[in-house]
Amino acid sequence: MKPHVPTLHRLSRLYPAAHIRGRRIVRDGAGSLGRVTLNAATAEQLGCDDIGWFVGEHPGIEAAIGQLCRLDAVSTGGIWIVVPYSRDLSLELFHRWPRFAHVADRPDCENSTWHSSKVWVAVPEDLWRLSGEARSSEPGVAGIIVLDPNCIIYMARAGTDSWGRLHRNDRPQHIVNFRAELEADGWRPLLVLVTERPALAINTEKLQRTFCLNALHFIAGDSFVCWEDPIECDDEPIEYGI
Amino acid sequence: MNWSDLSTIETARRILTTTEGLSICYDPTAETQREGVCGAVPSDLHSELLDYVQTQYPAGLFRHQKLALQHLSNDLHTVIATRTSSGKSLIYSIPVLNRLLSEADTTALFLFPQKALANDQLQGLIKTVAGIPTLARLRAVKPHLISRYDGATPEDRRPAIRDQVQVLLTNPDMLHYAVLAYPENWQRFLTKLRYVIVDECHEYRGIFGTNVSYLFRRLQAMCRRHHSSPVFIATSATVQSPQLHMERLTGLPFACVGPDDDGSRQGERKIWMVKSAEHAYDAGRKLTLELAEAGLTVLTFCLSRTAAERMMARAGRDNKDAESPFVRVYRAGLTPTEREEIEAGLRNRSIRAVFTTSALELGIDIGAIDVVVCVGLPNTMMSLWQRAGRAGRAGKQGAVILIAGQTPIDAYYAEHPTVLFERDHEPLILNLANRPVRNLHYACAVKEVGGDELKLDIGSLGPEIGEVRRHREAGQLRDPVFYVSDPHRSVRMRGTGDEAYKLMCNKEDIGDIDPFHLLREAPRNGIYSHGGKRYRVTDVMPKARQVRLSPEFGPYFTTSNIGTSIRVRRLSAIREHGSVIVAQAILDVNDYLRSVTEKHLNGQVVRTYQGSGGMPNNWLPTEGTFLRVELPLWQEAIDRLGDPAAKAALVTSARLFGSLFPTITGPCDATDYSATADFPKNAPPAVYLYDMVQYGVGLSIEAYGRMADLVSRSIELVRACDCGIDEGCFQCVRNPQSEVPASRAATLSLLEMIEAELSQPPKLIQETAADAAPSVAACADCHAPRPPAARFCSNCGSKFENAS
Repeated sequence: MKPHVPTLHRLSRLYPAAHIRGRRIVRDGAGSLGRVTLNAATAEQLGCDDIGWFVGEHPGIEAAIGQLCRLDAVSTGGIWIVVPYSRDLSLELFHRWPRFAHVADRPDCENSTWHSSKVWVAVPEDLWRLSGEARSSEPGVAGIIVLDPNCIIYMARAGTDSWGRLHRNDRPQHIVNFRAELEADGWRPLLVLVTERPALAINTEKLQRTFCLNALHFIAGDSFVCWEDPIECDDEPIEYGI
Repeated sequence: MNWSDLSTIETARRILTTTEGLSICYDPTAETQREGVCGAVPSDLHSELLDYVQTQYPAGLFRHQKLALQHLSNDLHTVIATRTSSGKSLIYSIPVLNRLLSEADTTALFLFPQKALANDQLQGLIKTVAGIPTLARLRAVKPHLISRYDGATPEDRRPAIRDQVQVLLTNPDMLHYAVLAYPENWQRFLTKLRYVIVDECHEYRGIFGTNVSYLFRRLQAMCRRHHSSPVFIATSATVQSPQLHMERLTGLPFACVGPDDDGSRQGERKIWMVKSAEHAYDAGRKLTLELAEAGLTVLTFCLSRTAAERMMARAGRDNKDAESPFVRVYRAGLTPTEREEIEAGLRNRSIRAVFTTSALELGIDIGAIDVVVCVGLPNTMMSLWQRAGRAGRAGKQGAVILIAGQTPIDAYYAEHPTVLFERDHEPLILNLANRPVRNLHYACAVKEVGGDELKLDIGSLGPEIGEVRRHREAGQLRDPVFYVSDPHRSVRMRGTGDEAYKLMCNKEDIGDIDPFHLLREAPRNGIYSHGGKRYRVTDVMPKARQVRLSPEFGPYFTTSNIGTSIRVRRLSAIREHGSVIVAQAILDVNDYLRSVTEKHLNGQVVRTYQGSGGMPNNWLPTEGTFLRVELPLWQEAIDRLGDPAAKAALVTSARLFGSLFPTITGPCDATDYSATADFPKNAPPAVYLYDMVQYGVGLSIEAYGRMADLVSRSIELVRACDCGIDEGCFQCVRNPQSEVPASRAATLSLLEMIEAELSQPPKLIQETAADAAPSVAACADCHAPRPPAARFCSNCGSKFENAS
């Protein structure tokens, strides 16, 4: 059983203000549970209960780059670890990154990791490279954003190489391990899965089990926004109905 | 006989009485000539316009014209619903020209349901402007001051028109696709827009009317963004409740100038209804030719394009005839050149007889028509009076001859003609609750405000659009249409079906055809008639939306045998009367091609092409009412009548229900609904009445409460028919589309069995399909069922309150 979490002070440094907002929906998209903003209180609940965010039907990589850039430009708060589903996507993010002046290193065919101000990027297999740096960073890691347009990482638990030989590159487990390493006082950084597919098209129960989550909160992709300026809390619940 | 000494009505009477096989069943007194009630032209008009109107109309304006101008001078939205040929065009031209004279940059939008009408009005306006010096000078500087802007406008002329036009004549389709979709090109025009003219407003009904209704709301929102507030002027000669219709169509309050205010001059007009011993088409063709040979101009309205083409084909002309005859056919699908040639021919009387469809019933200027012949009852009273209005214009004499067709409803009204002529115009149905249409227009409205849903002007767009926004806000509406980059292209203004097919003959585009008519008139291997010529359909290419044709010279024609399968998607109300179930339902109707039969012109079958031949099906999601004969009763019917006879009887019952439906519900447009019988493999057979509009217009569901009456009237009609043979006639049980001959006795027997069941009190009445879900523990947030040991809801991720 997890201990009671006296982490609100720490979380208020990771999330001094809300910069991410979305509309919570039910899995089949037929009902809305109101707007939610990612502030310290929300992060505490999600991190302690091991609840992830499933951002389905996201408009795509172009929109994601804009959103990540705005997070990168936030001067306060924690680091966001971005996990693209492939090295190609990591390279694409790097080449299309508008805040190029803030990039410290560049990815290559061996190492997919690269850093901007508040956004650090690595494919699941290279997350270990960021592990030490992430743990020692101040004020710490606010969350992990998995960019998986086709939502396939959770299924990549084993496979065969080009010679047909079985290998065991458990891709989601890299993310789970990385997140576990960042656990402190029973709180783990928020896991945000961003995909272009709707939740209804995914076996989300299997997905949450794979990522060792207790539950998923479903966020409508077209409502998911990240802003450089703090978002005012207007998370009044919208009446639920069909 | 020397016809030239006789009046039009007397000539028509003599020909009618001397033609063999025709018997007059309705012969009321002729409507007498009426002199107009005139008054002085309003003096507050601009002096040049005043001079012009006084010169052109020395007797002054008619009473209704003056009243309408009075409303318009007070900036009231006004609808004018006076008779055909009562000078309605002048009413809307005067305020527009008057405003142009006082404010040189003002603009006006003229909307016509058909391109041909716009062309006609354009010529009239240009002629008027030429007689007003200031406007004539303005037009000399701006050649596109008054312009048509529609699909026929050449691309290279469009930018100049957009720059200069101040009086724009177009149709709702172009307003949607070309104006509202690109408001940046029309800023000047929209900012100065003062008048919107809606001509023939009764045409905006059904799915077309629903689309136009949303279009008008979007236009108003667009005008508000451009700080303009145009006055709407609507006209129609045949509209029931004009004020109410326009208020529903635009969402604005309207003043009305109705038939009671009509002060126009009307010529003497005579109406006859006749029955013919031979087929109505043959009688109509012979009568038309006789009237034309007597020197009269005759317009013969047929119920379908195929009928018009066949009458033309049998009028003695074929593909080898190189001469231009005085008999022509006019219908949708002709090229603009062909249409204009026929219109001009009618005006200068070089063409004296035209077989036409509804395409010529609206106010296109085709000069004075002497006689209108209607072969078969038109689908609506509006059509009947519009067609009758083509005769006796401008104070001249005119005659209208209505030949009862070969359908049960024609037979009914031939016996009760006074009932027919006492009927009012049909109520005009608009269904703003039609979800796909509403969502499409919402998406268009969002695009027009730059993509921000919060900027929508709900006040102008109406509560239905407000409802969509509320649902969108709540995340309940996520149709793909909300996310497409160009939603305007997804809207089909005149229907919600698929795109039309182009008819290509030797790489020449000869017209187009919609998917509904494609299956019936131009299936693969079929013979398609166009402008009196026949073409063989060599290929149908659904992806390219093309039909390949080659000229056909053989004396053959083809008929398509169309099958219909229906799937019930959801029931909304059910009544069980013994072994008969009557229900309202959401339906999927699928029309498919069964076979194509080729016949010689003498009626002999030459060959049959079995199967669909790769033709695409025509799918229609809609709503309707069905009557299902449960298996015990159906088995009893089969035992009593035999399987083929029982099936034929049910098919005949469906045809009777469809025909007699307007007699129980009141006037309605027969093209808005249909009836069919369906015999599914593993379910009881049923008769369906359904709306012919995607997602329905709330028409055929009215049969739910009147099914017993419908059955009783069908029995009455079959019993009362005096054809005297068991096979029946087209006016009772005989169905030209059916392969198995029907039997009067079998049909009566089945209908009586159904009537007996319907007379029983309903055992089960379920007026709404309630969800009888068992009560289980549910998530407080999303109401999804909660498994006993779960800590979190799998549907929304919420933590259960008493979870450990």
